[in-house]
Amino acid sequence: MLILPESQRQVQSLLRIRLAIVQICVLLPIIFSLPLQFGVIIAFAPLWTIVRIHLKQSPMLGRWLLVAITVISAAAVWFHFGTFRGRDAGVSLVAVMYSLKILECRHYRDVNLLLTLAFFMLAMNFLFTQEIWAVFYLLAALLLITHTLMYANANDVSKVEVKKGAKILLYSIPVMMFFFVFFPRLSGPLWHIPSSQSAGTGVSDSMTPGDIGALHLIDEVAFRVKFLDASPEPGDLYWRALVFENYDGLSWTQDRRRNDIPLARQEAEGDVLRYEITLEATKQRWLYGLDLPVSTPPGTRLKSDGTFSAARRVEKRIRYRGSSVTRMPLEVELPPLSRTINTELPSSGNDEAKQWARETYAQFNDTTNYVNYLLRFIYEQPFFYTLTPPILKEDMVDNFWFGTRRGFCEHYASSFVYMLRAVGIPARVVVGYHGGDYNALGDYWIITQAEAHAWAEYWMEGKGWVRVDPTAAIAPHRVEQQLLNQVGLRNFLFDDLPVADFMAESGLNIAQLWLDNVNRAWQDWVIDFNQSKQFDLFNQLKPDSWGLGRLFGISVVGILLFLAVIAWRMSRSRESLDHVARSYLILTRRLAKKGFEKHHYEGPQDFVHRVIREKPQWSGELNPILRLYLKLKFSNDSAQFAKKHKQLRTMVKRVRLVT
Amino acid sequence: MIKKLLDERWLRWIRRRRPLAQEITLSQRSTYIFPTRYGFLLLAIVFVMALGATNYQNNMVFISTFMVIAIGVIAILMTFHNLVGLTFSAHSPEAVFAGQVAHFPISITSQRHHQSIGVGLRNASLSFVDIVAAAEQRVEIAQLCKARGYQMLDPVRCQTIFPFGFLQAWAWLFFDVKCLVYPKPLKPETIEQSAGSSSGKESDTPVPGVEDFYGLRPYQPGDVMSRIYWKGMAKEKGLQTKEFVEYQSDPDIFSLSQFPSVDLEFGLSYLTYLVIEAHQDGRVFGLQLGEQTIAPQRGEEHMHQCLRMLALYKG
Repeated sequence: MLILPESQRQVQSLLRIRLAIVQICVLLPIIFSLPLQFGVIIAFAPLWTIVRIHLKQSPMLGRWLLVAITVISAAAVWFHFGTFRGRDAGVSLVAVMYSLKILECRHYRDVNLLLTLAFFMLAMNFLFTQEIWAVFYLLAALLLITHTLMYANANDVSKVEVKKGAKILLYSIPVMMFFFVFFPRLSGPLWHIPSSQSAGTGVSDSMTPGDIGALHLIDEVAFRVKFLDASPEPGDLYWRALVFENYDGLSWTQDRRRNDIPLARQEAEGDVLRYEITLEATKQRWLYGLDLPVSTPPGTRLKSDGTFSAARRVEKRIRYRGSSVTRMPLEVELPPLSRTINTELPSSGNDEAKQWARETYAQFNDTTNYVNYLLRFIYEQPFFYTLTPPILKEDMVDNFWFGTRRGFCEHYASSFVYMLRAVGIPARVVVGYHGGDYNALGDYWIITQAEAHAWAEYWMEGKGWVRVDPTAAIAPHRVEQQLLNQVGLRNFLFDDLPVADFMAESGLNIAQLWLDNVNRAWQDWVIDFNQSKQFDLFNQLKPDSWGLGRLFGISVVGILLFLAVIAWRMSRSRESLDHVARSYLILTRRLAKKGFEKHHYEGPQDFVHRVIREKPQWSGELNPILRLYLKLKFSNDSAQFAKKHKQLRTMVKRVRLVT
Repeated sequence: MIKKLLDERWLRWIRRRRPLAQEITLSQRSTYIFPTRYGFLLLAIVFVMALGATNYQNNMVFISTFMVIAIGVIAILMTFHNLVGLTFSAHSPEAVFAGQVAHFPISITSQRHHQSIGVGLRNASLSFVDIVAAAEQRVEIAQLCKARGYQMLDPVRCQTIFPFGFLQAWAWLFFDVKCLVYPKPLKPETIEQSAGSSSGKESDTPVPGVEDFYGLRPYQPGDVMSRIYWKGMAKEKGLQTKEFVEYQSDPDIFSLSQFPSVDLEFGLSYLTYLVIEAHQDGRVFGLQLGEQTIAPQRGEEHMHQCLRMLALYKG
């Protein structure tokens, strides 16, 4: 077969369809990660190609039309993002250009260009997701790309086997792992990355319960905790993040006056619980600790409100260690500033609540009794727990406490603190997470975004700050059933509810826990692998007496040996002819079982003919096999060979030889 | 331009190192490999990917990068081994006339499968073949033969970019096969009568034949029994043999002296024309070149013998 120089070869329809499929494959996750209009633009070109070819029409567009589409698409990116820099804008632009390339793919060189760039586009997907499934997607996409490359470069496309591509990938994986472990890593980025516009999930730095009409429980993992010694009681799993001491009538925020005061050192009383937290990227600075932290990781500072934060925003998953004591007095001696901050209320608004609080407090004149009364009030009065509360605009506490009585933790914590401050008891809102799901396989706790929580703290003479969770006071039967169905993880809060207990057992099954284990290992060993882990690993891999150079040397020799083995395997003769001989051998064995031993002087033809003379009823089965065997053995027709030898094998296998 | 020049030097350099042979099996030493432009593009892409992965501290991008590197490394081995192990044997083609294209048959075999192997001369398009283990595959190399004499097969290039087109492996095959090239036949404008041959139709030179009885001569050992003049023996004239002859025109003995004033090559071309013409007319003819002479004969064999002499004649 004579083949034209590559510049003159035209792209056939079948190849073009394959190219479109490769494009869709490498762009699919990007399409779903970008704003809708760019997803549509990106998907257009390959889908157009497939549809037009299917209709037996040319998918090519005129040059000027193509230029126009390209310019308009680029302009759309510019107007949407206002820039071509940054992850989303950059990826949009490149993906749009790449997808349009297929519309001007005329020659062989365009094909190879498109396929080579496919590797690059594929890698872009992982700027959006690094989940474990991504690695399987990567392998599948690579298989598709390599297969299509072979298809494009083969002389006879019918001989391009998927098996070959799979084998290449299989050989590639150890080489990739070698590079992954030994490729030198840097400790930080080479240049500043513009941060992406999407907001991080997690606890927010302010709380405005009245604004929220629907709270969506997000089942994403917030962080994972491994207790290094003992685990606390499930009821004590309050994860402290921020303390809101400033209330303007609508929103709770941190008080700036307190922000920089470090926590005075105090002796820890009770059992110190040490733990290791693996925190997902929050794009915020604050960190989480079990209520109440006593020591925090290096580089962070424990503040006087019992919270701590990192020096920089958490832009990627981090891991840190901390230790806490679950019941420890904080600020037993209340500084005057702290007292001032925590008894402040807006001078106007919520008059009814202020009035009610003062009258009620007058009945007890005692902090503990007053707090207990408030909790009982919540329990006895028709307060409901719901994620879709009515929106409260003015006099939020009045409206909630005496009117709607429907809300979630933020409403309860907010109103509760208001009621305490109204009578001069220092009180504040604490936000973080409550509860967690124990993973027995990995011996750690998973805390999801759905477990975000807000509770209250009030100050008592001689005891310091005391935690109180008004949400937990809601009578269990007034917690929305549907809510329990949505998330079975709040059982700690309403743990006298049988339904919740039931859900605790069945809510997460072994498979989910196992999956989370796998995910965690994936995150630990792959996603979080960095320079320091690399050095740790090197140190683990080598005996102490070795230098790093020796480890590198041995690894390089190892990978070269691996490649040498592959090369040796490639150079060995194998396959088809052996298959033909093997098929024939199988046939002779089967005939031998029927009593026809092949004499050493007999050729295949003599032997089979001898058998057929004695058993004419087998001729229908044996003759075609003999014909094909002789054809394969003595013909030079290589084009048919690969397929025919399989045919021979199946024929031999199917022989029944009924007597 | 420079590339061509380098190519030329490269070829000469390899040529010095490789012995000529009729059968050549490609070894790892005789096979070369280099990235194509797509290979360089892939290198650039890998570089950008590694840069991005480092900057974003994104390990999945690292994994993608290393997978691509690994695929590239495996591709080197695959492309290389797609060529190594092939056995080429070249055969002499049928003789051609100068200015014609000779087709050198080359058979390719291997113990393994090979895909998309291109075989051809430099600066010519390649024939692509797939090789199946232990089955023979044939290609023909067409080479223009300009001058008479023996024409060696030019260095044959075999190459492959399979599987991915990122790399090209190639080897030069220097075959010890040649094609016999007869001079290009040219119709002579004027033919001078040479001294030794007359073109007169009725010159009665008898040549041995079977048609007409010519006379008797004394028996010589080896004479055919049926030709023995038995009657003469009976007449006690001793053993005699009957001689038969064919009367025909004097056979042509072509020679360069017929074209005294033309260039040697032209003369040979004219003689070639005459030889072919004489053969086609079924005439008996001879050829005389310098000291070499081919006695008058007729037939295919004879013609090729004459053409061969013309092809190889050195003035």
